[in-house]
Amino acid sequence: MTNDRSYEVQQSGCPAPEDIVACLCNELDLREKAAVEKHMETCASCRALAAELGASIQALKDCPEEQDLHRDLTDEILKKIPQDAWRPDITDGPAGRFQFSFLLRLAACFVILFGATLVIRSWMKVSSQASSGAVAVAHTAKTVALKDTRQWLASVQEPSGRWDAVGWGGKKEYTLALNGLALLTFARNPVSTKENASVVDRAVKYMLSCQRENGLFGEETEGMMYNHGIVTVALLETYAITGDVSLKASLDKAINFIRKQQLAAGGWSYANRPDATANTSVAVWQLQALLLSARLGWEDQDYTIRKGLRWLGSMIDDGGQFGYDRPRNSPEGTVTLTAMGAFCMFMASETEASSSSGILTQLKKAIVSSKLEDANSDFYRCYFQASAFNTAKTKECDRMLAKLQRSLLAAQERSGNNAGSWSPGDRWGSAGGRIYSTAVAALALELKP
Amino acid sequence: MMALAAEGDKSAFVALVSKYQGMLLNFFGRMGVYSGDGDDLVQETFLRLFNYRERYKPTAKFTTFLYLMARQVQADYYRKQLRRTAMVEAFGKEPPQEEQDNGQNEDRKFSVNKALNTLSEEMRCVIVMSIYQGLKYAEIAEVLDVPVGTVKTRMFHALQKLRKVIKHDE
Repeated sequence: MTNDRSYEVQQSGCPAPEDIVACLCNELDLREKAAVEKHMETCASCRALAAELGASIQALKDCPEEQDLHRDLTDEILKKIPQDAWRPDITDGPAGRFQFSFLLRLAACFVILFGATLVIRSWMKVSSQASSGAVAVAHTAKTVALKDTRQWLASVQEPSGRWDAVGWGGKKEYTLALNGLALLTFARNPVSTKENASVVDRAVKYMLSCQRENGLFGEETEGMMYNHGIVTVALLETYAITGDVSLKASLDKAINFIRKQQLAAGGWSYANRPDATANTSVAVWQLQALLLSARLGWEDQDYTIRKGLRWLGSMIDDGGQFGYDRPRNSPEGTVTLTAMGAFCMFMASETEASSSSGILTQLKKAIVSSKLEDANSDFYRCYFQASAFNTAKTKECDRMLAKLQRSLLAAQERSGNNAGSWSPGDRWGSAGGRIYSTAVAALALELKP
Repeated sequence: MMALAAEGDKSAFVALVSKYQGMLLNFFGRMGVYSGDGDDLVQETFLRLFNYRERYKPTAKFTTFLYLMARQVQADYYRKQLRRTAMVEAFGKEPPQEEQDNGQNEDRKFSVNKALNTLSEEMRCVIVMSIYQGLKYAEIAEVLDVPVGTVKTRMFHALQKLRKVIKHDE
C-alpha cells in the first residue's frame, strides 16, 4: 500500500512529484486533487514542476496520430478462425433454417442419449471422487446442476421481475438482497439464451424500480446496507456483461450512496449514524461494489477504496483471522468473516497495491486452516469460502474449493417441483429462505478452481 | 460483448474488431512497431483474444484484457525482430519512415517520436497507455502486472526524461 503522503498533501510539505503528475493526468480523486492544487497555489517550486511536466504531456498530446487505419481487418481476422468455432446463426435464410432445425433435432436426440450417459457417469465419478478425495469436480455435473438451478430460479420469478423471497421462506427486510443474489447467478453465467436474457432484464427493471432518489436500493431499514451492497454488486456485474448504458445513471447514484455511507474510520455499518460501528460483514459487500465499479471504469474511487481497505486490514488479528467490528471479536465465529475479508483483500490485490504480500500470504494460510464443514450447515459461509479459495489461486485452495463444490452438488435437490434448488435448512435459512440457499449455493458452485 | 463473443457469437466478435482495431494499430505505432507490421500485429492480437476468450472474466474491463493480449503479441514481435533491430542499431539508423517530415505536424511527430525512442520499453508503455490510449493507472498496472505505485513512478520519470529531450531539440 502506498504511504499517506502519496495521496494526501501534508500542510507542511510538498506532494510527491508522482502525485503532481497524477493530478495533471486526472488520476486523483476530488479530495486528493483539491489538496495538491491548494498546495500549488502557495508553492512556487511545485508550480514550476507542474508547468514543466504539463508541457511534456501537452507536447505528447499535440503529436498527430501515429498510424491511420488504411483498411478494415475484420475479414482477414475472421478467415483465420475456423467456421465451426461460431454458434450457428438461426436467422439465416429459409433453407438454412430448415437444415438447422433438422440438424438441431438430430443433435438433440444425440445430446439426450449422450448427455444422459455423461450425467450418470459424472454422478458416479462425483460420488467416487467424494470418497477418494480426488481434486476435480466433473465439469458436466456442475454444468447440469447450474442449468437446473437457473431453470428453477427462472420458473419462480414473478412477471414483475421480483423473486418473492417471503413466499419462499425469507424475511421481508432482506427481499432486495435475496433478489440481488438471484440476479448474480444469472449475471455470472452469461449463457446467452433468450430465457436467461429475459430473466435478467426483468430482474434489473424490478431492482431499478426500488431505487430511491438518494441512490439507496430499498427502504431505510436495519438491513439496508446488505440490500444496497448486494444489489449494487449484482447490477454492476450485469452491466459488465450487457454493457447496458441505461444502468449507468442508477449505478452512479448507488455508488455515491455507498461512498456517503462510509464511516470516518473507513468501514461501513448498517447505517451512517454518529453512534454506528463499522463491521466486516456489511463492509465487504460495499468494498466489493467499489472495487468492481473501479474495474468497470468508474473514476475517483481510489481514496474511498483505500480508506475502506485500510479499515478492513485493521480487523485482522495476528493469526490472519478477521473480527466482526475489531480484531478477535467475532461472536458468530471467524470462519465466514475471515473468508469474506480475505476474498475482498485478494480481489483488491488484483488491481490495487492494497496489501503487502506478507499479509496476503498470511490470509491464504488462514483460509485453508479452517476445517471444511458440511455445506448444508451454512451456505453463506460456503459461498465466501469458495470465493476466497477461488481468488487465492493456490493448489491447496483449488483442492478445498473442489471438495466444497462436491459437497454442494450432493446437497442439490434432484426431483420434484424444487429440482435444481437447495433446501434452506442451514444456519441462515430462516432469514433467507430457498431463494437465498439456492442462489448462494449456485454462486459457490460455479466458481472455477 | 466479449462475454457473447466468448460464447461463440460471431457478430459480437465482429463488433469488437470493428471498434478496437484502430485503437490497437495506434498503440503498436506509438510503441515503435514498424508501420508495415502494424496490421499483422492487430490481426494477431484479435486471434489471440479469440483463442484465450475463455480466460476473460466478465467482471474485468475488456480493454485491460485486450491490452494484455496486445502486450504479449508485441513481446513476440520484438523477439522475432531482434535481428532487424540489432542491424538498425548497428548502422545507427531510425526505423524507416513512410513519409518525409516536411510539415509542422511531421516535425513535431518526428521530435516526439525521437524523444519516445529514448525511453525504456517499460516507461514508453506507461506513457503510451496513459496519454494516448487513455487507460487509468490501475488498468495499466493490471496489464503490466505491477503495483499502481510503480506506474506512477514510471510516469513521472518518463515525463521528466521526455521534457529534457524535447527541450534539447527546441
